[in-house]
Amino acid sequence: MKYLIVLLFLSFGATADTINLIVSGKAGGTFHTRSMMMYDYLTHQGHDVELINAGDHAKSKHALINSDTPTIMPWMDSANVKTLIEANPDTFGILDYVSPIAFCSTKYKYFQPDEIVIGYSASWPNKIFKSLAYTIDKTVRSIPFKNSGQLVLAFQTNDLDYIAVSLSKVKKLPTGSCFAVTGHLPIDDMQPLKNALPDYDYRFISQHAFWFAVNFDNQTAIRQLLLDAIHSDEYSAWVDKSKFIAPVSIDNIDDQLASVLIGVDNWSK
Amino acid sequence: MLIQLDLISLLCFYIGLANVAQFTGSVTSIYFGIPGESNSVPAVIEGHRLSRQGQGHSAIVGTGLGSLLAGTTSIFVLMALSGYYNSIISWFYSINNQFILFVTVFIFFIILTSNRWYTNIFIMVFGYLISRIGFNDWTGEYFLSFDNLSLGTGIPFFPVVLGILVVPNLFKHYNFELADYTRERLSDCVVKFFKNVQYSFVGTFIGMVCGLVPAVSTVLATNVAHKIVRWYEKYPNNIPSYRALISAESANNSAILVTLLPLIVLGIPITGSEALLVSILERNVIDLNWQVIVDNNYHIMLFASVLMSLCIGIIVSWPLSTMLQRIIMFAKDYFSIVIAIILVCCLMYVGHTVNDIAYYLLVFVVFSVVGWVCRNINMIPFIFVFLVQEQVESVMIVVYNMYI
Repeated sequence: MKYLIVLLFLSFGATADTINLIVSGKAGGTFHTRSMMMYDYLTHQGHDVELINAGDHAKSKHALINSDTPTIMPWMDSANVKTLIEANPDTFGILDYVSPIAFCSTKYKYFQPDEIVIGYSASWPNKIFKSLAYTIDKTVRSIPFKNSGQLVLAFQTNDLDYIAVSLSKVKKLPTGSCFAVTGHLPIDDMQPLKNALPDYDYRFISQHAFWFAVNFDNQTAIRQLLLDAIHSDEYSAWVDKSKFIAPVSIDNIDDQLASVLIGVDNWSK
Repeated sequence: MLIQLDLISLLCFYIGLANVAQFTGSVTSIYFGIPGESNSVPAVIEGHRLSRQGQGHSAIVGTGLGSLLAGTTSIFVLMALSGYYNSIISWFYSINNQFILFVTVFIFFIILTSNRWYTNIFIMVFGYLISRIGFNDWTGEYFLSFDNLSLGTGIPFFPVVLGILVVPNLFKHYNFELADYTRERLSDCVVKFFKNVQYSFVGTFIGMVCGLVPAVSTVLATNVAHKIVRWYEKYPNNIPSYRALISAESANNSAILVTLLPLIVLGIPITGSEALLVSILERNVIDLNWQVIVDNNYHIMLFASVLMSLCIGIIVSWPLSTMLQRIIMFAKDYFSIVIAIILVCCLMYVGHTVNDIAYYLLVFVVFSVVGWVCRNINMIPFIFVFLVQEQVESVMIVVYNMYI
């Protein structure tokens, strides 16, 4: 009985620490959605989770690096353009999902016209489109839009020939308008861009969403917990619906971190 | 709780909330001069001055009836145009049309606002620079934030508008003799509205056009409607205008409904609250677009829900108005102190939601001083540019990249 009580105490002690969860984005964005789904899962599992509504990337960074208690925070490689937070083996939690980039047009298939007008989100680096112009040897006029919502609206007006957009937005576009994706694999009717443009520098560029996990005694345990959350019904349904690619285990953490670091380099301006 | 709801329940909930908030937001704007939201600025300017002259209840009744009329008219027009939603979006959201609209509105503000034209330009540039502080998505750099975390997030709207518009009003005389709630009979208020109903229709039309400007539709609609009627009446700046008030509030409710089109038709959120709604839908793996709504026969329920929420708005705002009038009469000896306490509490609450109470209070103090110094200048162009800066910059940059 005595051992049982000690065992119970120890097992409770392993999970009883409060986990701070920094909500690193505003309501409506994927950072916020991921935070809320993670919060729901962890609290449902009996963990004590304190939400820290940073609401802004710079404040999120400040909260993370000044934290001295167990803390997790959702992040993305492309967000490093605005606020640089270095991921390393001590701070990296787990890869959340990979989101390739889709190329869409209601006017053309692939890059047929001599001059191409392509819209993209202003937070993305323009070097992606300079490289595209170089690869296809045509004039590419790249038009930055404030956010992906306005980009999708502009696409509806026919002001743009093409847009490059995050995969999660494809379902808001006319069916069949997206013809290619970055990465190695086809997604629905979208073929890998590498097939048509094998020399394009950014044919594999994707957004890598991941979790920071700092100040945990056992990094493996928190990674497993994060993976369980990502594999929970609600979280995985959201990932599947958005056509994202989620990790299957924590056995390849080094590879996950390496892919994130390559992503950070790809997305730098 | 919202996570449990299905598509139609969430939409009805959201639209109902958005509609009713327009009614209740007017009540606080008119009686206390505290804007419920960014599009309540004309209600603060005209409504609060009317309230100080003892016409608070008629202002509430007028804005309520105007909102009901605008909402009902807009929803019937939207029903009639439901087969053309894609064409409407395609035309109105084209970058050329957005550019022309903004240029027209800016010229309009410079010429028609009661200040001299160069004063208007000066305060509009000031509003632009203040609004630009913080991280800029276009340049990828921080502007005038001096490595300060709070400044990096930009200057928040709420303390600015409280400082600029509300604080100068605190020191003005409130005529409690006229504000006696027994003076204004409901039937007189209704008759007064119908004598001026044409201004509500003007606002409705402006709201329907401006409603199709992403991100700033209601701000644009209320300001343009307010400004047009003001210009038409040619009243001196210090005389409040009931007609400009009902025009602005009608434009607001009309724009609120029209601005929902991208959300309903394409599932694209324009405002922060719409983004939150879409986030909930995505978490529930629910698709939202017009085809889904029609396929499930939700459109009739949506229209009915809009009409119902407009009626609820009226039912809530009128008794609330009478109640607030009684409170004002009861607390008349301490009215300015009560308002100041409410202001600070609201400010601290909003600051608390972003973990930055001290910053919000500091911004409030700074802009209270600015508001006091500029108390004899019409600061609407400043507020307007402050609110629309990001969208204007967005349109200009897209036009520049596309054609130059």
